[in-house]
Amino acid sequence: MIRIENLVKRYGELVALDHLNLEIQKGEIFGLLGPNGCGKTTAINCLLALLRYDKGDITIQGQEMRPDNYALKAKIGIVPQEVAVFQELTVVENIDYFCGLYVKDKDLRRQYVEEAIAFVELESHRKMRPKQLSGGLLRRLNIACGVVHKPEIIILDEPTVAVDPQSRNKILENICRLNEEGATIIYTSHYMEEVEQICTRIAILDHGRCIAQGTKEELKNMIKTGETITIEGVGLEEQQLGRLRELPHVFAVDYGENQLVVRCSSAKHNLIRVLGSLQEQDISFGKVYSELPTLNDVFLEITGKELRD
Amino acid sequence: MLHLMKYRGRITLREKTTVFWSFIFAFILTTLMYMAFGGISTTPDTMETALVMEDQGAEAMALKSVLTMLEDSEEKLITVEEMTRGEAEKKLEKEKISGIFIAGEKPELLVAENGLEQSVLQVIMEQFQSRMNFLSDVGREKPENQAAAMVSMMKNASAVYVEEGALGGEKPDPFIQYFFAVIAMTCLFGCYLGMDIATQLQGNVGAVGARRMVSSTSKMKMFLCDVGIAFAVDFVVSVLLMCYMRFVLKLEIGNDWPRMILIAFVGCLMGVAIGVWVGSMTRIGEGVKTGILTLTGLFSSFLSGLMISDIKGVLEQSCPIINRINPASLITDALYSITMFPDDARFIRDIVTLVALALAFFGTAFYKMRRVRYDSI
Repeated sequence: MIRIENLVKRYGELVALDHLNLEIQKGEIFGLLGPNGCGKTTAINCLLALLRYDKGDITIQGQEMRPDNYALKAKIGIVPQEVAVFQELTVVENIDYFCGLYVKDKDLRRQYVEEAIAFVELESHRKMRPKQLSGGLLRRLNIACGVVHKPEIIILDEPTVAVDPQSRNKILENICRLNEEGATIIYTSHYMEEVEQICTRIAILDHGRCIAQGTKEELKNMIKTGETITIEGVGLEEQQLGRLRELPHVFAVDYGENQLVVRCSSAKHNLIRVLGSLQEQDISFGKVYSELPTLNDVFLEITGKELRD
Repeated sequence: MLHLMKYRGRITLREKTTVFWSFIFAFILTTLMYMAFGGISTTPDTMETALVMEDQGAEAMALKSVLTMLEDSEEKLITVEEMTRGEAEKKLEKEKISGIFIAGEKPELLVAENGLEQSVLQVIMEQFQSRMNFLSDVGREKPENQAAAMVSMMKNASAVYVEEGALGGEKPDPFIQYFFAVIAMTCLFGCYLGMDIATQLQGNVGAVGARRMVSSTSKMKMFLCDVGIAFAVDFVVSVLLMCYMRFVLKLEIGNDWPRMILIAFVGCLMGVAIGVWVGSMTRIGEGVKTGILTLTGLFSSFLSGLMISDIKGVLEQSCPIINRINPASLITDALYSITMFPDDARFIRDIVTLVALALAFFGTAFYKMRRVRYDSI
């Protein structure tokens, strides 16, 4: 449905997008994950024909995306990272205004606006101006303005930045609902938990390059880490750490500030083996956590740095 | 298009800062100026003045005639006693007179202090000088009409200030030039509306602009709707201001409504065009753009006589090109040319210049904004 091939975008000496290749299928929730400045928004702006790029091709539904391809633009809804609404208009007026940029029929527009207001649950705030809304409600208004015309493709650029957890959950629920109703979603975020929660396929970006792409399971299978065991309140010496490193399936042991982190490849009973080893050496310990690999582990293993760095 | 225009209208009218500076401020300023000047021109107290004849040239004699006619007018704005400079200065020192008119090679006014009476005398002197400059213009541009203009002006000298018809058959107020400058300023204050439009039409300036640019409505359509509404709002306010001056304050700004409305029309077009042009500059921030527009508007109005009535005359002699391209001067000049000193050629020149400038500003601004993709956002 959407194909980005060898996309290169430079800002002077800085290469913002470095031969980026992405293919997004109809009906997906496609996540673009990466740290701030990795090129997610630049890629979106190129996709929307807002930004000039140096090289590459972008096609949507087989058509070249150009600034004057209004037929194609009508099928796309954008929810920008920055809330983009008119401060002088009320909630309902803002939604109606942006709907009117796509939908000319008055009755249909009225119906769409009511549906959008209900969708983001802003019924009781319809007469309010944006500055009277909380951050979470404002984000919901931003979403309503982007999806009111019922686009086939919805691009959400970090829609949950600076949003409280309750509103964030609501927004994520809404995105899933839009997808269930048939929209193809492109979702950019630097919050790996969100991407992991809702996206059916994910591309991880770093320095303008796509470093990995696939479902979350496929991405996790790309790396060695199958389980990360963290043990707090433990005092260890180098010799004792050495014995832990010799355990089967353990490939990394980090220790510092009385906290032990053991990374193991996928295998059964990793936790029991590690705790058993500590018990054998008569080492006491505090809290114990065992985590399955996250996208952060994927990012860490591929790039050597944390996603949040 | 109606949809876009309806919301642009709401956005414009709900933006409090714009509403104040573009609309309400003009009415407040007009009212304050009327309170300051209006009462003076309608029911003035007679002021005692002295006339010192230091020269017998044309300008000195013209001043003497004007003052004599003012003294003889029904309103009796001033009394004039001819005396020597020494006697006059003594009287001024003892506050027995309000001011001294020196009819020398270059007429002057001497006052001892600042006050209402001194301001009126100052205006009389400025008006006189302004009309002398006008005569000089006529002499330069249409020498064959200079004698007639001189005769007409001398015949109606007192009327220029107080009562009877001036050259255009209107009943002018000595302070009317200030009100013309306020009209010009109001037209040009449409620039703020223009700047907002330009900002919201560019994908690389603000988030709203970017959201609009990725929609399926063409930029040209949005541009036309937005400019149309900004212009309409500014135009309505300017015409309402003229009506307020003419029918509520009873100021003699003229009765040639078709041409007055045409002036407001092109003046507002010019104002919005300047705003769109400045707003289309992407490398400077909104605060700087607002500063540029405020300075441009006020400086342009200043040069057209908003604060110093004779400045246009001074510029006409020293650097006439400024008067030919300064939008506020063109607007006030067009108003002058249909009220005070009817001159169709001058009126047409002013209107054509304004239209040409507005089209140039709109054209270059849209050319800059039309870019299909941005280098950076």
